[in-house]
Amino acid sequence: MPALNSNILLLSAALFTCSLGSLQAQQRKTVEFTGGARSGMTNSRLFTQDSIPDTATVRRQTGGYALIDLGVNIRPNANTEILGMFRIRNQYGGFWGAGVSFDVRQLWLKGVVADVLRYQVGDLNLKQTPFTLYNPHADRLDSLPEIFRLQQQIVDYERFYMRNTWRQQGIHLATGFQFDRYIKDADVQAYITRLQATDFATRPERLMGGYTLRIRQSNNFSLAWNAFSVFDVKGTALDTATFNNTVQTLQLGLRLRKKISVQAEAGTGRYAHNGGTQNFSLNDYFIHARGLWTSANNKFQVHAAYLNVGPDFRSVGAQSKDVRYDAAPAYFNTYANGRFDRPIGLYDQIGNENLYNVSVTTALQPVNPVYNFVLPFGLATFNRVGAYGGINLRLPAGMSADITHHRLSEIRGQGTLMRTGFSRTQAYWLADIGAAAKWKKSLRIRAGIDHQAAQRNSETEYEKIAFSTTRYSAGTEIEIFRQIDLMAGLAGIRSNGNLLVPERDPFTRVTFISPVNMNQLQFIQAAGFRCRFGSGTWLTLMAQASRYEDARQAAPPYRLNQINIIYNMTF
Amino acid sequence: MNKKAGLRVLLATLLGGMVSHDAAAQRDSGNLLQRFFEAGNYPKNPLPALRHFSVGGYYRFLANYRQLSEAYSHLENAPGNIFIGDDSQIPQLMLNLAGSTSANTSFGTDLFLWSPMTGAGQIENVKGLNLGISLHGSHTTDLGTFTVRTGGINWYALSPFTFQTNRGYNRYTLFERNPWDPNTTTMETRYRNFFEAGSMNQDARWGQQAFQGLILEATALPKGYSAVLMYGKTQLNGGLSPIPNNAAGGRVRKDFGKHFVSLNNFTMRAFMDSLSELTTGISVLTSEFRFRWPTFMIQGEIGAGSSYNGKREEPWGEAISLKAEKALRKNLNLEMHLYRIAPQVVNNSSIFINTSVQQPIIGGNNTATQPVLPAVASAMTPIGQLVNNRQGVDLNTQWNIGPLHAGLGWSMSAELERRSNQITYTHPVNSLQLAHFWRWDFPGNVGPYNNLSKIYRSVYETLPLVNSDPLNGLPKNDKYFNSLELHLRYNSKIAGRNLYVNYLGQYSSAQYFLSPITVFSEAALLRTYYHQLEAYYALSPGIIWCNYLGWERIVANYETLTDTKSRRPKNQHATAIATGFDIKLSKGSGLYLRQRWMQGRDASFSRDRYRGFETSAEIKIFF
Repeated sequence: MPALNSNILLLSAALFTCSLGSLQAQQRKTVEFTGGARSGMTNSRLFTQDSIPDTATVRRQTGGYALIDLGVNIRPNANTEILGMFRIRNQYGGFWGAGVSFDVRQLWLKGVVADVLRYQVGDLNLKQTPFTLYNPHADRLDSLPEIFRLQQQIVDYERFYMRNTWRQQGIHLATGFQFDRYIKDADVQAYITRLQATDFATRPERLMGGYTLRIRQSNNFSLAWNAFSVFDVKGTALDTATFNNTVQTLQLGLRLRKKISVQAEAGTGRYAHNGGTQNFSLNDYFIHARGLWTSANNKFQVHAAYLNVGPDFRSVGAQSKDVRYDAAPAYFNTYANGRFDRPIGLYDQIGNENLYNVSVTTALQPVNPVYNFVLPFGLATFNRVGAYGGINLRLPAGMSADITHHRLSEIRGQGTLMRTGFSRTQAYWLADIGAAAKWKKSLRIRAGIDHQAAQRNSETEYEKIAFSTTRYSAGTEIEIFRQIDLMAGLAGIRSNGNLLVPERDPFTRVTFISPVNMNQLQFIQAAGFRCRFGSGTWLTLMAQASRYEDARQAAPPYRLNQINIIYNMTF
Repeated sequence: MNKKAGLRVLLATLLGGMVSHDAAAQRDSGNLLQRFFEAGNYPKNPLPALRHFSVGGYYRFLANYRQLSEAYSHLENAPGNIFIGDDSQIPQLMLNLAGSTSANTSFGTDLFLWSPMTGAGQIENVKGLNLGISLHGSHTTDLGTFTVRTGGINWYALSPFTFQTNRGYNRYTLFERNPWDPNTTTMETRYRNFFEAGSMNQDARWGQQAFQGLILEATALPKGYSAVLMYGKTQLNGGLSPIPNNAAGGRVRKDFGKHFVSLNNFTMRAFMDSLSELTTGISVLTSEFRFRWPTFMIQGEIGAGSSYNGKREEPWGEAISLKAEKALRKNLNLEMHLYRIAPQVVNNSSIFINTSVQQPIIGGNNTATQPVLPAVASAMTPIGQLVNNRQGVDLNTQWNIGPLHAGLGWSMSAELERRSNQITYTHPVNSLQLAHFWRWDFPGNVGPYNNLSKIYRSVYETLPLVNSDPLNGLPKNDKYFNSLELHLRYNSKIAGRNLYVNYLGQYSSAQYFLSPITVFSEAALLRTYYHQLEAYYALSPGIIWCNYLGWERIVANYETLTDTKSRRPKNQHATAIATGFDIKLSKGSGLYLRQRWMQGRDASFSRDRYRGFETSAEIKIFF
């Protein structure tokens, strides 16, 4: 006990030093203002190719906005911090107060209790592990050129995406311990948040909670126990049906000879609906283990992994998709005389914030095989077993490359006993020529490709699957004058073949297997200028042209051209 | 790594501490386990803070009571009216919020609050933005300095014929206060400045137009060049419809010494249908110049413009404005102004009024924009206010003789084409009070004879001419216009206190023949005589006694519309007697009281008459 007491004292002193020290070091004021501001203007034009002359679709659209996120950051004392942020938004074209909206964007309180327990109440941005609570951004193309990344950054800001987090509202607690022997340190984090409020009739209160207990024996060995649960609170609605999804995992991290490390996570998941008309549960497990070897000069890294995620493994926090393919794009929603909803294209997927979720969803979101059908829910994609591996290279002349290959298959056939096999190859290449040549101005070129294929052979025609999708991108940013960049980029998708896509009910059970046959081509190219006024402040003028066509779908091809002017400030 | 430092890394990384996560990760680079166990609440870094943030603004309370013993028909059942606020510019409380993220980037917005004080309480209170959100940034390079303004309304001007508002010759009266009038250092400063300079301190918007969108400026370019590029919306393009309705403009300017030459362009284009097949718009291309010597200056603008509406396109027409100013003596300046603006040149965002081409408003609505397009008619305007379809010459002089400062203006102009069989004119004496007869909206063709139109804080009247071609409704004769203006400002002392007396007289006529001066006979289609006399006496440094006397006389001949009963043409007169006080309450705050007795009647058109009084009290505080 004396040893433990001394450790706690040590911790307390450290926390106090940490929080107070950092505040004093920066001479932070009691009240400060933080946030961001942005204005955007767009001019868009839609072209359709239809056998019937289109006399109903709006061909051109213009839009825009200016907004300020003004956060008041209050520090009443060294261990307490409050943030209230409101958003003022002014729609383009609204004069003298028209088209103005006011919203509260963020509100939280955080602090340290007795220099031991750190807490935050209100808005949270949480993540745990890829199998518990995690936003994998599974459909994003990592190699996108800067001209598209700028648009993705705005989506991230709008939807509070940071380091694979999900936006939540609740409370988060954290504390830690240090030990003199056997164990170096340990820390505990826990949270509980609210996913939905009751309507007192059919919808009960739904909460999400979890905790992580991590023990670090040394810099070479760590263990963590993670628990995650989404559950309905009984008695909060007339309907007695309740939902529960619990995941428990064990993480292990091991480093051997400083160059070899092993990371593994395994666990179980239970997904249950109790009471009411639906009374069932799904139980399954997963295993993910990865080994990495890094060369002595840190310029070469190899990794290999085994992945096994059971077909009934459900984890709401890890299997929520960021993008909603069933959402209306809020932009040229229909076309071809209003006969078709405009299919969501690369243009929307890259920069249309209206398609993106803020928080986790308990129902599985639709999967769009054009973007990702191998691991549509990230590593937590259920019904997958296999391996993957890759290399990372740091080459001369400022170049680096990543290559990863997945070889997976279904564990349980969908609609048949036959199982589908998947392969995926990702390659990403970056050349930072400006830095390598030690130029005063920067010059970067990047390119990437993501090829996915699904194959199922059978003597029965219905069971046959042969589908592939290839996504690629390339682009450059060249600093032509000091802090003024010329940017250009392209990205495309080629999807071809047939696939059987399971349709699921709100309880994630398969209700129908839909055959999908597509021969889709998407392409987007963009070019523009960016002026960097300083950290987080830039102006860009860009023009982009996108194309969507699918020879085997009824929706006619369309082209969407756009000119964008964005001025962004983050402070 | 010592034990204390290690602890800080540990705690910061794991517990969301205030030490940079990245810094911790860097110190532990190579340890991939660190990232593998990353979890928790983000961001873990301390929030960045604005470099500077300020709040300014003003509070303006305005109460207005009107009682009419004779009223226009729409007010007959409500001759009394109490109004709290100002429908032409709402805010009671205006908060100007401004922040800068660095030395060269900033943003600003204005939040207004207004309580109509009708007794309904909180539910009727209004909040909003007036000018919206504006973002600014500048970037200096070896080539020059580049500035960007985006977002909500930015006040801006290019050149008089492209994008600017008319500054005129400052011949106006001070008695009625505008919403944008500042509080001066002392109560007397407002009147002292007007006496000395012939104008009062105007805010930054003076002469500028509201623009929403993107403005890119390049200044300090090599060899004296500068440039501007703008794209967005004027208030005439306003509205929330996604169908494009935009304006664009630009300027390249070369400065050399005190002289400059610029090339300017301004265009507006709106799509009238969702299929983007029909457009309406205007385009103006000009060159502006100014050559200045110690006692002589030539400035002007020469260009061309056109407009189109659907498939109908006007040919390009010329727009010319040339001014020559000579200092004849130390206190005597003379300016001659020649101008010619073709009827095809239309630009409602410029200093001239469109009197020749009917322009549709696309996508506008009462909540999104100010749906005002000046009347398409032959306008009788003050000297200095240009209109298209007109050529003419103005002479203006300013002569300061001791305590008397005199401004004299003479104008003669003619229409270029017979495009309208109507004449429009204003009622300056009770202008603001007439505008108060119609609150909130800007209706056209209202009043007892449906010939009055409200435009912001004023009202103009439309007078039809009878001598028109029965086939096309156009006049059979050319119209000519004359005007004389006399603006006297006098300063003296009574009992040791300053007295300021101003007289503004405007005598104008429109007729079918060319005349060197205003036609004072019945040969004129319309004669307007406006007399406004005002006196301000400084009772003390903090109190000014304000007085106003106005008389206007408007007479038309029988070639204009006559009344169906009296069978006589327009024969109007209006008077106003007003008094009031400017009282300094404290530093930056003032109380302004006004009492006006007014009447107006037309001897020929019997329903056109009003009589009554209006009382107003204004408190204005800047902070």
